[in-house]
Amino acid sequence: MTTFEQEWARLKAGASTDVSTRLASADGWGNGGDSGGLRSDKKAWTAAASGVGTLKEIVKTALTELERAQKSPGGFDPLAVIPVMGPTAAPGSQCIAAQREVYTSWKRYLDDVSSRCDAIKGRLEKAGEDHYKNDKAVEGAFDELEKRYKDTPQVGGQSRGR
Amino acid sequence: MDYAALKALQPSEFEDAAAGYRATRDLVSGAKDILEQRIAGRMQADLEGEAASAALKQLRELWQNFHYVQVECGLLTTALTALFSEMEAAKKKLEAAVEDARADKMTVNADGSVSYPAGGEKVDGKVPEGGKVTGSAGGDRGGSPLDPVDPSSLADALDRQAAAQHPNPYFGRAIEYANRIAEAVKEATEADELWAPKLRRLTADDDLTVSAKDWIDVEKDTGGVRKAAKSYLDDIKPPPQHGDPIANAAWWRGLSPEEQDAYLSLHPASVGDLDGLPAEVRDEANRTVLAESRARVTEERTRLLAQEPTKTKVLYDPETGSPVGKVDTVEWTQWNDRKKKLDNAISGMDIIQRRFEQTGTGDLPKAYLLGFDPFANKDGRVIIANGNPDTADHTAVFVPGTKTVLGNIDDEIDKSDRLWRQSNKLAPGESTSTITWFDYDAPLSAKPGDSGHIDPEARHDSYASKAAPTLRHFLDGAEAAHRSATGDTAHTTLIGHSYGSTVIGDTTKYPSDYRVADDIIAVGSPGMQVDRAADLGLNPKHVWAMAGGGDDKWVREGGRLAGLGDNRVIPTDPAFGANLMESDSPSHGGFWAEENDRPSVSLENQAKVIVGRYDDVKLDREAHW
Repeated sequence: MTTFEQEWARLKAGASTDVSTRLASADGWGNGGDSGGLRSDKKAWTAAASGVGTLKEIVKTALTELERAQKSPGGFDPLAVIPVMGPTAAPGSQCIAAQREVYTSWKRYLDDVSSRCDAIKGRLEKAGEDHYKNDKAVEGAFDELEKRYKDTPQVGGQSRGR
Repeated sequence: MDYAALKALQPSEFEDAAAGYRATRDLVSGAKDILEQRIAGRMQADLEGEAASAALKQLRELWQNFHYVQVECGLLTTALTALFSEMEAAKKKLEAAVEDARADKMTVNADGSVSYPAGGEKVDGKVPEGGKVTGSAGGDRGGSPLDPVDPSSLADALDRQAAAQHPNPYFGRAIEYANRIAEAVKEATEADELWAPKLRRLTADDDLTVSAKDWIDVEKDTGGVRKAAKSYLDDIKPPPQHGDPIANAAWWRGLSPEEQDAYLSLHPASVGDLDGLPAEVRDEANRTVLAESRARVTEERTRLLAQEPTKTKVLYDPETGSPVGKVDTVEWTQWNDRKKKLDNAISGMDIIQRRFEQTGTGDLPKAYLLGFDPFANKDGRVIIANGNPDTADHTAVFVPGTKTVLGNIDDEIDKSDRLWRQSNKLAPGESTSTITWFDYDAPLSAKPGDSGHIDPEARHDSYASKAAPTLRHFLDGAEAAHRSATGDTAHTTLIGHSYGSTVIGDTTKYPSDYRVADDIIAVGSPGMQVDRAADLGLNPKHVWAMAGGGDDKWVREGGRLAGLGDNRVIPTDPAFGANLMESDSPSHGGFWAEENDRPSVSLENQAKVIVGRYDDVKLDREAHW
């Protein structure tokens, strides 16, 4: 099951851009076979959960790639990591410092997206296992996520390091 | 930056980081496709109710996260690639200068100064001593003539003069090396100062709600990177000036993947609109345009609603001074016009978004947004395909008619969906793409009284003749992109409904290197500006017409009277010479009816032409000429 590494190798080779088809079929989340649609609600919830699981794996792969790309062949130079103070004061490259800050922010963002996938997947699974009492309870579980990821205008948008 | 910093800098750090963002963008873009095409669509097909809606809402938010990551990481890829290329150039310049200095027996010191040895002819019995010089970065030191107002040129001249007078011949060369070093450091410093703030702007949002403000930020970031990357972009061959689709296709093929990425992320609106480019690329660009437009329009609407002017004012009789009635104020009317425009745009964007989410339901394939601008023409532009037209065996381009606006484009997209489903059913082993093409000002009135027009707009050919070159351009682009992708052409059918068929008639008058289509279907046509099918440039057996009941006759005969056909001949006339297809449509709008997935005769006949099953088409009258 090194499908993502394979997928990645293929992507890098530039063989095709149709990631979704390959990834999807690799995970058994294909569209073949039961094109007539899923018969029971339970199956539909479970299938959606498995699909979101695939999404999470992709996000994790992206995180790995992002991290790997940060390790230059010479390894980290600890001196270079020290943030440069002021706009022109220091002799070092401001871009190196900026690049690393930006990386940290995207690593965090993708980590958050990965957690969001987990949270959605968990609820979809539970819905498929009849864990919730009724439709209303399922709705409530998803609405709770809505609150969790609410926008933070005072620190969002314009605060993105500007 | 100083000499030591540039010497220590590894530009490859930027290149490697760019590769990481490129990978992230590609992977997340794949995740977005899976979510759209295999999870959300299927869930909508299989599940109903409040619970499913709440779950879908969360999936939609996740989709937004993916889209946001995709676009921002695309920008980061381009920004870091441009930065790498500038730093790499500066670093190479530095290394070459240091190398040359060393080969010339000099020493480059830790501060970038150059020490030279003793040398030259003895002066007073002594060999002239060695020394140390520090370079300065100026402008062009390439031996240009002295320009008295350019201090760097003056500095050059002074350097040369000093070198010529110096007894040690190493001195002049040391100055040259030191200056080259200083210039490299200056270039690196400039790139560093230019890019550092641009990079920081590309920091990820700190929450997972992708709001309108976030998309507005993305659009600003794009502008910032585009400006900073100017010198990098200047090295990339720009798109052909006159936008010939065949030349556009060749231009795109000639770019490296990095250059394609740069164009796509920095110029989404123009790339999305460029006929001849691959459907995949245009779709990605236009989805960015869609997200950014939605943000802008939503924000503007919110502001607008908060500032509604006084609606009416009372009119007074100038003589008696007593009130005689009320009228809408000019301010309110302007305000209301703008509001209507924004509402139209939002409604159209909702429709497109809904179509994306329908992928996977009712077997619908991925939708490709080939053109989008909420404010193009008078009522917006939408070009959207079911399935990839670049690789399809059969492509149908559907041109809608009178009264089409962005806000009601769902009716037209729905027709294209039905055409796709039925065509696909008829030719399951072959791939079909059906495209809704709405990139013209459609007349807003078909008969007197519509939209308050006494003289109906659809009586005039001007709307069609204006649309024709745009459609021709699009069709050539679709063919060029298909040839790029497969080396071959698709079987192409042009379908015009009502006034849309008039647009097609005018379009065939534009000469091009490519044929206009293999088949043309005129549905409920009021006239095609020609009186013979053969005048469309096709063998008449590949020209098809159909009529409906009820008001359809009115539309066709109205067109005849208005002169939309040539010599008062319309496509359903025997004199026209086209195949007259059987039709069970009860009205002008009912040609695409389905019942329990079973097509009406009129719908199935169109689908049969689309997939080239000509012998199966049910005819009332065969083509003749």
